[in-house]
Amino acid sequence: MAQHGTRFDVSAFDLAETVAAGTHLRQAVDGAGSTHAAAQRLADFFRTSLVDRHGEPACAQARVFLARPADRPGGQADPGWPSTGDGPLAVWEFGGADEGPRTAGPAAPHGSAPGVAGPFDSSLLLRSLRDAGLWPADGAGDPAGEIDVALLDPDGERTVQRDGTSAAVASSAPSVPEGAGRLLAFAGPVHAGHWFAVALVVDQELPARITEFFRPLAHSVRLALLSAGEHSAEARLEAAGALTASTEALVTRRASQLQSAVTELRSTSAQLRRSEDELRRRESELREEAAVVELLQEVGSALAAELDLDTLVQHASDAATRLSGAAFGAFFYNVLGETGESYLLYVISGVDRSAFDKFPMPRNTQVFEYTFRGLGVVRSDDITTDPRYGHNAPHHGMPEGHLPVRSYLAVPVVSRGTVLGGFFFGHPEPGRFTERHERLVTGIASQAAIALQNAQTYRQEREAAMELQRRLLPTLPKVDGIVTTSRYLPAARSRGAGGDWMDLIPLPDGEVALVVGDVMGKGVRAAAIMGQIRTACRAYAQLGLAPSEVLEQLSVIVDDIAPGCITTCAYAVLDRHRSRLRLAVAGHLPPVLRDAQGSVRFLDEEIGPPLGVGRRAYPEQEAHLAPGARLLLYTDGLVERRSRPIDEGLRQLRKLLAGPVGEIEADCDSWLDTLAGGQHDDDIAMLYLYRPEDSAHQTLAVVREYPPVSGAVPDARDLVSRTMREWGLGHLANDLMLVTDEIVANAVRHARTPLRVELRRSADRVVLEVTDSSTRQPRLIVSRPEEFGHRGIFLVDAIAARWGTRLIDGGKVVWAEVSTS
Amino acid sequence: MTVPHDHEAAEPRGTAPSDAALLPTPTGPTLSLVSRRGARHAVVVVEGPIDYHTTPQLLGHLTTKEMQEVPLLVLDLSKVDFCDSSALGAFVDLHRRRTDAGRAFGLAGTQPEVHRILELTRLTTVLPLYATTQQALAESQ
Repeated sequence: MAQHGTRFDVSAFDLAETVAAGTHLRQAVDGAGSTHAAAQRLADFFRTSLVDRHGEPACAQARVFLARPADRPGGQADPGWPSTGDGPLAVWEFGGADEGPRTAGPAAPHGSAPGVAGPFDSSLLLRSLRDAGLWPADGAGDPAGEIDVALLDPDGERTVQRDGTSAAVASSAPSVPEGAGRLLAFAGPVHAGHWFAVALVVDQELPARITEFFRPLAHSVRLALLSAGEHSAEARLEAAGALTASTEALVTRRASQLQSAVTELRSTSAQLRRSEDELRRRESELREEAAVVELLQEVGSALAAELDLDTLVQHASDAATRLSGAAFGAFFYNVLGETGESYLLYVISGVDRSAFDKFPMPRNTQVFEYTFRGLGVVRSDDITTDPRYGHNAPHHGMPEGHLPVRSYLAVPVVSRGTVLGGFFFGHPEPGRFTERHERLVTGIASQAAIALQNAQTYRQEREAAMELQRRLLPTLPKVDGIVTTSRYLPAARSRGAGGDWMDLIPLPDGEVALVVGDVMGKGVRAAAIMGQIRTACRAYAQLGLAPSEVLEQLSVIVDDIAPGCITTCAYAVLDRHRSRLRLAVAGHLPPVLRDAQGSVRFLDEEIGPPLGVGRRAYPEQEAHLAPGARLLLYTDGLVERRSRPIDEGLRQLRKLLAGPVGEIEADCDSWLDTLAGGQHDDDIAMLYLYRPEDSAHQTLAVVREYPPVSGAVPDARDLVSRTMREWGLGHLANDLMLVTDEIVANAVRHARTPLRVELRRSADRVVLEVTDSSTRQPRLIVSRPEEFGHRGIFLVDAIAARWGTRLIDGGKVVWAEVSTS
Repeated sequence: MTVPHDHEAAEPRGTAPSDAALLPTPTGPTLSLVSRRGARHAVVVVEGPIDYHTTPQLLGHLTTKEMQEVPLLVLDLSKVDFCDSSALGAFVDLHRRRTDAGRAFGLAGTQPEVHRILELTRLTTVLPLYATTQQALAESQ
């Protein structure tokens, strides 16, 4: 930093100095009372506040000149600007403090005689200014009508900075006095007919671009002079505006210069391999400070918004590792299990997780205890020399094979007196962690503590609500002649319960009722009302009422149990041959039908008002469900999002259904993925139905369950191989075997729960599903892709037509699909 | 048509698998491993699928001091018709360790299905592959 209090180093003058010096300059002049007093204070300011890199005054001479045409008696117009002298110009000169003998008084016009004693002749200074176009020439009237800055050098060449352009112009004028080093000058009109000029004789070479930074300062000088002279508010406002504009211009220019510097460094580095390191260092210096500030802000807001525990801890750990400059970092955290037991999990940043997989969890050794008990931060330049290190059997220090750690930093994460976890950072070289690193990580730790607390509370509430929802939405039965599946997803960031439901009700005469509905509102209340309406709906369905009658009855019920609670519903009955569909809709989004030929339409001919508006007749419509047709009933959460109008969502849904379709589970998952993508604002219910072309092509399935042992892998492979041959699909057996092998091995390795392998065949594809019970365990995310097992997923991805995962009640499913056509 | 002793998908979808205690534990196949020592090499003829289940057996066989220190180790895979990512991980690991220690390693006689997986994962450019064991011995010494 070039700024020390109110001292500004001219050898490192930049944007920050410009702004700060301008402010200090105006403060110094504040209350001066007259233009002359202000000019004197300005001269003193430049003399004392501008310093060289050693902190010594940089200006041998600091002169402020004021001038007005002598033939215009300024005394009348401007009481702060007394008129003396005669001739074309009246000039006053003010010298800076400690320059030696000086007088503040009128200088002779035309610079013919000095009014102030100093190392250099005032007339020479004025001549140099005049030659640079900064000062009125003899009888020439006004000088340049705007503020200008020039850097003049003793060689007779000068650099003039004007409006952001820099040009070296040969000057025929006598040069600056010999030995003067550099003359930095700026000048301009104060107001009509009155000028100021500042000449700074500096002992050292100044960079040409300094003129750019002094332009806003020149505007500050003008504003200060105007303020002292009791000029109109309007004039001061105009000057202030000019100052702001000039500062803004400078900021913009500097920003683009930094940007182009970075760009240039990049392109140059490609050619100059040898200087690449140097360039990178400069670039990173430019970015480092900005990056730290940005990261801290980003981490804070990201953590505050993050409710998913796994993502949260990984994010916190990655950020803290980057900020601390550690070779690697870990975050250990406590998680409460279902039955209230606490267990310790961890994430790793900076290195592959496998570097730590083989070690047991850390224990409360003397080194770790300090952190796990939340006693405070441990920062050590070399932990192996710490008195607490190496006292615990069996390893007495780091276990063999542990990544080497010398520099060590550990920060506990504590919330309301409870230790939630701890950050640990290591580096193989000693002395890497500074107090600044400690402060940064401590900052992240306190943000992480709040976020962790939030995430845990959120998780508990969400689980309770999900449990309620599960009870309200029992599994759908299987029905002959159709294949169905359903989905229920709570809103991405909700507390887990919602008012959406779907139902599939086999009726006594072999018909089947299909229902999807949505009770407005969120949370447990909406879910409770939904439960009642759903039960009522089942009862009316069993009575064999027509769709229009069922909705009419439900409308009365809704009015009764939850007055004012708007509920929408689509209710359809499919006949025993599964070909004729009768449908009534109460304010709900229309179901969408895809016929066997692949054309798609919304069943939106007859839509009645929502339920809860009293007894009224609902219109009915009919549709034909031919073999090969598909029908989707859904709630608005699927297509509506804050960031996407509902029409756009419906268009996308139509496009998806018109596209390639296949196995219904995979269809559902991929549509959900495309339309909602985990970002849905509202809960989503879906009921999807497929009428197979004929019974010969109905889905065949093979299911087998396994304990989580490695022997499950070859066994599942054999099962799949045999089944594929039985199905006449031997040519795909190798593909399916490999996919099965990888997915089952992954479940055995990571989930470690019993698992189920299911292979299903439909008209044109085979789907493999492997189900395990591992959602309880937070997935431990590894930062880097070189994870063991990476190749397995790669193989699945390369071979399967589609694959994915979905969470289910108490577990998750990994599925993969291979096309048979 | 379903395989007789498998239960049909009668239980509701969307639930986690049942209690592990009731499930039979598949034991799985084991590899047949036959080693031949030469003065400066060892050839291990592997027979059977190399997968998540059998890879530990293979690695156990190859991490004896004798096997580790032999200047050239060739795995004869002509009787291996299946490899998965665990096997690939083991090959890559063996190759790297041996190379780091200045010792040679090779895979000989890879069958089409195994070769396909090596190609899919681009490992054909990383691992030294030979058509036959004889070729591996001839070219590596």
